[in-house]
This record gives sequence, structure tokens and C-alpha cells, in this order.
Amino acid sequence: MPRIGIAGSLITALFLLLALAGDRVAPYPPAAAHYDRVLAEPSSQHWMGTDHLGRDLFSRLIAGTRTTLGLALAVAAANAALALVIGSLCGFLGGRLDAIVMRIVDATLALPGFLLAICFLGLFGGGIFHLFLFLVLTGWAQLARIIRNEISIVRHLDYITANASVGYSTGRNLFRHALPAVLPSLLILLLNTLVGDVFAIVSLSFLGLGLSPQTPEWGIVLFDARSFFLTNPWLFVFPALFIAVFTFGLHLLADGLREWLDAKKWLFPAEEVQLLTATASASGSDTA
Amino acid sequence: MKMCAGILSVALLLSACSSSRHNRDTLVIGISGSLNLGTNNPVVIQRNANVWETLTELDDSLTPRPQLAESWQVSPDGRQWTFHLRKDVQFQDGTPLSAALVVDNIRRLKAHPELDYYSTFAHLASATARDESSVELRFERPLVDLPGKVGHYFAGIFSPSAIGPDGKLRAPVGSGPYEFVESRIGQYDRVKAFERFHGGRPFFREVEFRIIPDPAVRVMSLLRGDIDVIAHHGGVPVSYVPMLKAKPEIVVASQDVAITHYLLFNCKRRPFAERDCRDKFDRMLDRNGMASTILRGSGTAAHDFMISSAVRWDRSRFSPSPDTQARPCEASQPVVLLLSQSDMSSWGYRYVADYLADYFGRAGLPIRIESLEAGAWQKAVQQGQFDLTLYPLSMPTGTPELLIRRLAFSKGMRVRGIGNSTGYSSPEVDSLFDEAVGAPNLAAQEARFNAILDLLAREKPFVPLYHERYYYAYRRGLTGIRVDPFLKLDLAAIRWERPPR
Repeated sequence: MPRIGIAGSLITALFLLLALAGDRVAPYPPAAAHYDRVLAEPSSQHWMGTDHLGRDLFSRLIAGTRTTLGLALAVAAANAALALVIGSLCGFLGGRLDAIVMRIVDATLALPGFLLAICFLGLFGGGIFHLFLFLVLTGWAQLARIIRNEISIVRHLDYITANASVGYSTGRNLFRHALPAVLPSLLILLLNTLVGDVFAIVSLSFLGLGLSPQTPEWGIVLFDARSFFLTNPWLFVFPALFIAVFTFGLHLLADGLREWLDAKKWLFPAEEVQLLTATASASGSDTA
Repeated sequence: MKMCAGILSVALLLSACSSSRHNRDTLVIGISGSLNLGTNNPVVIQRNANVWETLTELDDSLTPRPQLAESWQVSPDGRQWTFHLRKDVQFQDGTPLSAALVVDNIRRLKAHPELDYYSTFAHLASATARDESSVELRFERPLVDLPGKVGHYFAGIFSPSAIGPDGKLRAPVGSGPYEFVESRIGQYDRVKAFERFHGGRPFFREVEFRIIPDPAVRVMSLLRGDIDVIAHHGGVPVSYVPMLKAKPEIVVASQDVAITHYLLFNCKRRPFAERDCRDKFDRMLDRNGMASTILRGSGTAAHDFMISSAVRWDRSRFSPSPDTQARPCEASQPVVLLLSQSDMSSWGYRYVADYLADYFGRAGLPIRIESLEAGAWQKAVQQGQFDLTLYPLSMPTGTPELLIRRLAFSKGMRVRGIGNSTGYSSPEVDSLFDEAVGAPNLAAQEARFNAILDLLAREKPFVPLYHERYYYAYRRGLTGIRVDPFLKLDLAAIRWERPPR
């Protein structure tokens, strides 16, 4: 893997580690208020200072890593699963199903997502479930369209046609032969989507529309800092740094992966093409 | 050479971006949201715009004083009122103020009760112009606090040309020092000087209310010189006060205003359906602690429902200090503290909620904070989908009537179908309330309202937390800037003593 990919992996791994084992690293419980240390500056006692309730900012950011990252990963996974099923079926089967579903995709993509989020979450309230639901409802369409486009290219490739001609079922041809060919590009796409999901969660929480205000989450920590960022800038700077470094790491990882995974090599696994061509020739097909 | 020109251009551009606004004829006031309330509202534009006036207005002690009416008299039975109007008043379309015009305005509210927000004229029997400048109002029952009720912030008097056949205003044509010009959604509301204002031509030709929802951005705009004044809901967050005070070009002022912040219990849902639970919760409240830790000067611990300057109602019914022996009721799941998102940013409820959640969480009563858009919050509160909520209320008529109607009277507000927000119901409160609003004299009304407040202080469907201390800021050199108890600036009094260079 190229160096940028390795750097990206390390940064991402560090944040994943914080998300998984952060409570062992955090110096204080994230919700513990210390009224004698309200808005304390960064010090050896509180590395990143304290907020308006005297809560340790570093501990809250570590706890926020778990919340933000956990939710973003869950959203990305659900989006990927939905998009994979819908996109691959549409791309592989084509026809009327494809036409109808793609119009739904068009309609979903045409919606102003952020505005809709403000209305939806403002009216029904925030919280993990509502935020998850909204991000999945609006996030699957773009992924599904890209997967559908990739699959619709792959399905016309010779080895897929050859598979069909030797009697492979549609399901087997799609899930065992066509889909693996688009998975590497999907992985890169997913990393970028994850960045988008993190930004969406943070932005909505920053606007007071996301998770419960008590939840330690990066956007909420930023929201809390709104009234203090001219007078106590560290409350703003450290959460912003956390978000920036994490998304930077994800971008590096995606770029590195893109370089590492030679798309053509994965799209046309040489042995499989050879084998399929031979099989097709043996059965007298002219499609191989 | 090209490089030099490029650098120069960038430098000029940057200096233009950072330069102050120097138009001395226009006053720019930073506000959190538009003053324009729309034509479904009886006054269309908020009182702060100084476009319209009322017959009376409330002073700092919430006592009515003359505005369009010079004086007034009441009959011994409290049913007949006579208002004597000023003779030098013109409306912005040139129409002179007359008794007939005021009668038309009052009949408009009687005919369209949906516009009469506090049901002032629900029992009006007749309104007549006794002469050119005297209005006589007869009521079916005594209305002893009428001067306060015709001075509130939905009781504007408008030129008849502005009133449509449906009773709604087509445009807010009033007699105030400024005429309404235009509103741009999300950008500004603009008014221009009314040259023939009865108080004399205002100093500023134009006043722009610039909408800057985020308080921190408002502060930065003031520091940059983009705006001249910050004075609206939320004002200057207290966290920025020391920084602004250190700036020689800025003046920061504060005032105790007629706004009290209440904690509302849902009296129809456990655990706060039980009076005992509400009482324990209230006794545990550390109002002083909250004022010093969280409010840090932006509020004073409330020891009664009303601000202390409203002396008629102040009996120190609540302790500002906690009862350390009290313990909260147990709840099987966290109680929901539901907040309105607009109140969260305008009034800093986010931080108060955090404090309450932490304070009661430590005492064994977990609180979950939830927030909704303002309209959805109001609906949720009406439907009782909360355990606790925070709510600001002022005393626009100078009595506790609105407070009791909104939070304890079982029929709630008469107009707009708004029930009381706590779900509390008490035949005793209802009966006393009916007696108070129809009391034959002020002393009898005061006695009944105070009896209700005593009862509510025992029953506690809602409790006061703190009274608002409002911070506002303006550029040094401006004079005449002072907010009234309802956050209104008298724009006609503002002028540059020493305009900025």
C-alpha cells in the first residue's frame, strides 16, 4: 500500500481504538461535572480544558469518538447493504425494475438533504434512531446508483455472458461473479461516504438537531462551545481538530486504497476469465 | 508590477471587508429573528420596530402610563372606561388620531376575537366616541386592569386604511416614530423615520434590524462595526460580556427585565402528576447555585413567580436555596426535559438543562434532555409529551393573568385554542381566576390573584427558576439606548452624541 494509505490506516486505526477502548484512556468520566473548574484552560489536569459544567473536554471528545464513529459506521453499513441489494439487482436485471427504481433514486437525490434533515429532525426530534433513519433514507440512493452503474457495465462483460451461457443462475452470476468485481470500488466509495456521514452527524448535532444534548458527541461538544468560542477558543479548536484529523485520515486511506487496488485487476481476475473462456469454447459458445 | 498590483488589490479587498460601516444616518441593530410576525398576527410587526403605539404602556414597575391616551377614568363599578387621547398625533398615512379611529380599532378586535390575544374585549358591550378625543368603553362586567391590557404588545392602534375587511392588517401603519419599509426573510427588517412623529423627527433616517441568529456572530458583527447595537431576544450572551467590556469602542449595559424563566411539570404524567414529587423537586432546586454557576450574571435566582419590581405580587414564595434533606421521587426511567430549539439558543436553556440534568442525576433522578423545533415543541407540550420543560414568560399586562392562563387555568388561553401547558386543573384556581378577571376593583383583583399564586406555590404545577437579567451592547458615541421591561428600545431617543470617525 502507498505511504499515504499507510498513514491513513494508522490515523483511522487510532480513532477506532479510541472508539473501542476510549473509556480506559479517558482521564475522567465524560459526564462528570466539576463546578469548581468551569471553563478551565488546558492544563496538566485537563489537557484540553473544561466546558461550561467543568467537564473534561478530552474525555468528552474520546467518548464522542465512540458515538460519532459508531453511528457513522452503522449508517454506512446500512446504506451499503441497501445500496448493494437495490443497485446490483437493478444493474444486473435492468428492464422495468431498473427504470422504476432509478426514478426513485433520482427523486431521492433531488431532495435537498440538509434542509430535509432540519425539517425532519426538528419536527420529530433528534436521537440516535431518528438520525440513523434519516441518514439511511437519504444516503442509500447515491451508493445504489453507482453500484447499479458499475454492475450494469460488468453484466455485459464476456465472462458474465459466458457464465450465463453455461447455465449459471442469475443469483449465482450476480452475487458470486459480478458483485465481487465492484466491491473494491465500493469500499473506496464507502470510505468517502463515511466521511460524509460523520460530517452530517456532527453538523446536525451542532445545529441542535442530532443526538440528545447530553450525549458526548463531537457536534454536540462544538454546539456547547458556541457561546464561548471567542472567549474560550480551546472549546472549539480541539473538537474541530478531532474531526479534521479523522476525516483527513479517512481521505488518505481512501486515496491509498484506490492506488493499491488496481481496479482492472479486480474487475477481470485473470484465472477466472481464462477458465470461463475455456469452458465457453468447449461448449461451443461464441460469446467467450 | 503585475504582482504589486495584485497584492495591492488583495490588500484593498481585505481592508474593504474589515472596514466599519460609517453611514451615520442609518442605525443597524443586530437581532436574532425577524420582527415581522406576518399578517395573521394582530400587529404584523413587533413592538420593537417602533412602528405602532398603544393607548398606554407599562413602565419599569409594570404600571400603565400614558402613550396615545393622555389620561383615563373608570366608573365606580369598574365597567365603564373613558380614555382621553392626545391631540397632536398623526398616523404614518397622514390620518389624525381620533376617538372614532380608536373605536374602529377596538371594534376590529371585538369582531375578530382571534386577533384579541388576551381577550381584552371579550366582554365589551359598547365602544363609542364621546367627542373628538374621548373614547368611552362599556363592559358587561368590571375590567379593572384595562389600562394595563391596552398597553401590551399585541394592542397596537393602527390607521383604518391599513385594516382589511377581514380585520387583518394589510400593512402596519401606526403612529410610531418609524414607518415600516420592508422585510427580507432571513436578512433584515427595515423602517424609516416618520417625519411628522408627535415626539419630533427621529435622529436616524433609517433603522435596519439585521437578522443574525447566532449570538456569537452578532457579537463579532458589533466588534467589526457592521452593526451598531445588539438588543433583542437573547441579547449579548453573558460569556462575551467581559470581553466586550474590555473594548473601548463598545458599551455593555444590563437591565433586569420583566421576563421570568419557569420550570413546567407535566401534571398529567407520572412522576410529576403527584404534587409530592413536584414539591420535592422544587425544594431540591438550588436556584442560587444555578445563578452563580450557569447563569453567571444573566439571571437572578427567583424567589417568586414575578419579578421583584412587580411589588404587588412579590411574597417570596420560593426559597432560592435548596432543602438538602429532600430527595427526588423515584422514576422507572429517565424523565424527559423537553426544550424548544429556539429557546435553547435565544435564552441559553441548553446550559440550564445541562445543569438540571447533572444536579438531579447526582441526586438519583436521571433526566434526559430532548429538543424540538419551536412549533413541534409547542404541540408536544400541548399534547403532554414531556415531563419537564423550560418556558419564558413576561407580564405584558402588568398582572399575573397571562401566567395563570398559560400555565394553570384549566381553560387556558381563550383564543387560538391554547390550553394550559402544564395539564394542571384545579376548580379552586379556576374559580378564583374568574373572580379576579371580573373583580370590581384593583384591591379585590390583587387579593384573588395573590390567593391563586399562594395556591400555585403550594401545588407547584410550575415553579420559577430565575429572572432574566438582560445584557445589551452598542457602539460608544450612541446615546439614548435603554431597553424597557419588554426589551423594546425607544428608537426615537437614540442619536449619535459622537459619531464614529
